[in-house]
Amino acid sequence: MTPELSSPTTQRWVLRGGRLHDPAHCRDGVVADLWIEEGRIVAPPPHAQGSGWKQIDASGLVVMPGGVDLHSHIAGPKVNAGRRIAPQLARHRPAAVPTIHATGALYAGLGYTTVFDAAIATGAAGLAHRELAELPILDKGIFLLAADDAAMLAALASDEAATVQRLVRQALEAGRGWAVKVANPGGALFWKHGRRGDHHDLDAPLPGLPLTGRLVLTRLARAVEALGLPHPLHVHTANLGLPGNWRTLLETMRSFDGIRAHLAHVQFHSYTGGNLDADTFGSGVEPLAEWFNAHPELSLDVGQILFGDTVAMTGDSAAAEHLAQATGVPWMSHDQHLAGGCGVLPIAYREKSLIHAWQWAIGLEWFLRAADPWRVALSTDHPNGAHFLAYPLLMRLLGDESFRREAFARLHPAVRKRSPLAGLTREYSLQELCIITRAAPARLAGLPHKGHLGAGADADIVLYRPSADLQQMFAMPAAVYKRGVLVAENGHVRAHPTGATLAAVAAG
Amino acid sequence: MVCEDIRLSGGAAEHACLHGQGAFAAALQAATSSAPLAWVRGAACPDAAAVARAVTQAAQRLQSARRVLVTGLGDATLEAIGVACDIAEALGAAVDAGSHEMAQTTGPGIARSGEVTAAWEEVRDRADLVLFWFHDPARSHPRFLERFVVPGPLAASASPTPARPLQRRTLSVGEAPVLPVGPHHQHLPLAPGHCLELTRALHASLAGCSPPAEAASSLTLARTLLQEAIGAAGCVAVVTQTEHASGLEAWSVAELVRRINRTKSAFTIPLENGLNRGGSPGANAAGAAAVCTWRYGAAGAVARADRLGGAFLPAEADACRLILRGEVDAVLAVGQLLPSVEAALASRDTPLTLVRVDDCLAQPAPVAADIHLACASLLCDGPGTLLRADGREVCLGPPVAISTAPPMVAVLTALLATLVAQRRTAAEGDAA
Repeated sequence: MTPELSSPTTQRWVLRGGRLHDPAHCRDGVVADLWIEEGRIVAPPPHAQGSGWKQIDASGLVVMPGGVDLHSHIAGPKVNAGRRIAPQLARHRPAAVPTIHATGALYAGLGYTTVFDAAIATGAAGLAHRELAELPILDKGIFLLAADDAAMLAALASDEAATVQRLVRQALEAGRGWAVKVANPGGALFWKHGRRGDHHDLDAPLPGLPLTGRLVLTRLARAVEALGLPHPLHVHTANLGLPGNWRTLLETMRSFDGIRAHLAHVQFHSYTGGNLDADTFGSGVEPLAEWFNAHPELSLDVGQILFGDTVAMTGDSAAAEHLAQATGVPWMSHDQHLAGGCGVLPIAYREKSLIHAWQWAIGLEWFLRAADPWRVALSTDHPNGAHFLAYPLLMRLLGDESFRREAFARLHPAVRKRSPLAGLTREYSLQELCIITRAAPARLAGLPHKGHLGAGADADIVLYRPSADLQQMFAMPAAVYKRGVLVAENGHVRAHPTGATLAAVAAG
Repeated sequence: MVCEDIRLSGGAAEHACLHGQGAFAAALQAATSSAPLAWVRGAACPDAAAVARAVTQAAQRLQSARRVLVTGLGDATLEAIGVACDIAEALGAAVDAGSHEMAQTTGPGIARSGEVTAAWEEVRDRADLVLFWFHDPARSHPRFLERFVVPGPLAASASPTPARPLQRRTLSVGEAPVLPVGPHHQHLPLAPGHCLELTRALHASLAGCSPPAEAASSLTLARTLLQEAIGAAGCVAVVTQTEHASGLEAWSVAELVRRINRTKSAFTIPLENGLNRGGSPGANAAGAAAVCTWRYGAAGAVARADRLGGAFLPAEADACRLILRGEVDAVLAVGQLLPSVEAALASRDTPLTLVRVDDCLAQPAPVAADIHLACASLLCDGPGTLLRADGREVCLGPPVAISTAPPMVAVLTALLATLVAQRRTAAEGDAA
């Protein structure tokens, strides 16, 4: 049966008979109705049989809350640089770094209704918001790279907690940010002073300051916690992409010691090895996951890589330079005044590349070893690891062990031989996939009205046709509703409402 | 565009250089002039009704064209650029802002996509060696020197975390010294034709290789001096000109800076031509590139304005080619055009409708427009937003004077509204 999925013509409608996946309310495939009024999910009206409410038949369909992407890169100067740096990738359909309008349309077509850009320099926030104002459909927020700000570093150095809190608040207010992000703590300062390599140690003193990367992390995380911001400190730690960096990530996790923190794209920080020795390069996930699983104050997104061409972009210029030197491609970098900067370059992930195959396996290993899906957000660090349109493929890799094994068999032989992924048989259930793509990211972001289907939630609802092929199922939802309005249907965008900008601190 | 710190009081522009003083004086004078606000085929529109008819005619001509090109944009605020792009989308037009960002990704420039750059204040706060690389900002951007480079030895850094007190040294390479030669400034006189050769030779030296065999021996001294200066520096800024944004010279400079960057901080500071516009694409060229990129995925040469991703066709859809090949039969010129585009308009041999929306201060364009809609000068257009060439947002203050001409954004908005209304009327007519 093909259900009727037309847009509700009234502001009151009821979605009948769908199989609800709503982990926040422990509903795992329960058949039930959802009542929507003025863009919100509401409790069923007493004694109502639906009179006066438009009926939409969702029987046979899987119903989930709209997806929430906690860590993506979609706007601002570095994303614009990414659109330009590789014209050949801009010609792909979809482009490696889509236009702002296409970004909204493609995310919505995929069933996502909220997205965060995870790295905007404070000085670039105004321009990023100007661009995001043209992002259709999605609710959106930005994480500000406040830790590279010169005044902030001075306050962190003198351990003036009140001043740090005031500066965080001011930055969020001025930049209309949702959270605070650290990209390679202190790395921008090392970079700007020509101290290549010094950023590799969390305990190296920053140039001219009685401060280390570790102190940046802990003092800033405390400030974020003290301010009661919705999302904890969002941490891209030092040594991204370098062999042996699993120790840095472990030290980073240890530093927080009870303070809430979110670890970004951990895949890029979980490598063993060193001294450019390919034989020792490998996975450091096991001890990291062990620590992570035992520390509920921590959450993470993986930054999974998937094979293909893309563009890498980061607020960590040193990491971008290292990658550019390693791959020999042209790159761009821009340093902002009294703040950080960015590095951007094209990159191609290849199945037969030893390093890339390791990265692929390490990312999946993280997903499979992290015991509590409520502390995990699915991401590819778009576009760094892969395009967000690859999420359905990633979901199939997680939920279908035989499919994963087939993909694993195509990897570089050294990885097949040594990767612990070979021994991991866990499969994510539909409910767990629902958690890591919407319920958990919404909760981790601090969005009480998102990621669930309970009364009071935004009516951001996605209907999927169930299929054994999870990639097919998640690639093209039957219908996507944003605040109760049908915005996408079978991959076609039906409406372009303007989403809200999520700001943690009210201006003024 | 450098001078976001200018304050206007009593008709004077504080902090402005001579170029700026002149431009503001002219803007103030023009603001109160009673020049016509529109022309149709050279005839001035005498009153508001005639101006409205000109807008209607412009919309009709654009609407009835087979294919339209929207170009210029570099003299418009971000807000006005947005409306111009809306017009382009409504018409399915090609868009080419003609900025150096587009040039970077064309032809031989593809090899040098991307470069290492920094905000201008970073020159002031970090660079202890500034190289003026075959470009003289004293002519185009006197205040760039005043604010970010001079005086040489800095009394205090604006950065609260300086690595060490800066003792800045400057070195100009080119025809004339940028600053008076003295203890802090050295000049290496070289003709512009030596740019590529010297850059490659220096690059090779820094990489520990022998200079290219064909390198002129006359460059040896310059190369040695530069190598020593770079070796002694902690942070190197290389000031170049964006007019030469594509080609081997620009590529070699980008590669040179990347090479220096391997061992110490180094960045390029690309400058436009300033108010002496020459071949420069306008005060808000960076803004035009930014808006076009987030809307269409490219800074220019967009074959069709499509928010889902316009096709970037640098060898086909840049303004000059579209005009010269007769692929467009209407052009909406927003602000001043690049000299190359004006030349293409002048030499075209196919009929074409030209609609200009331009600063009332602008010099008469070489090619007369079929319809010319005048707007207030950008210098007294506020409020609005521009991007400085290094990407910093600059908010224009309130208007300098109440101009008789409307702001550019208002003119473009009226044109867009008229287009939409005409289309609706036509659709209703078809339906009936």
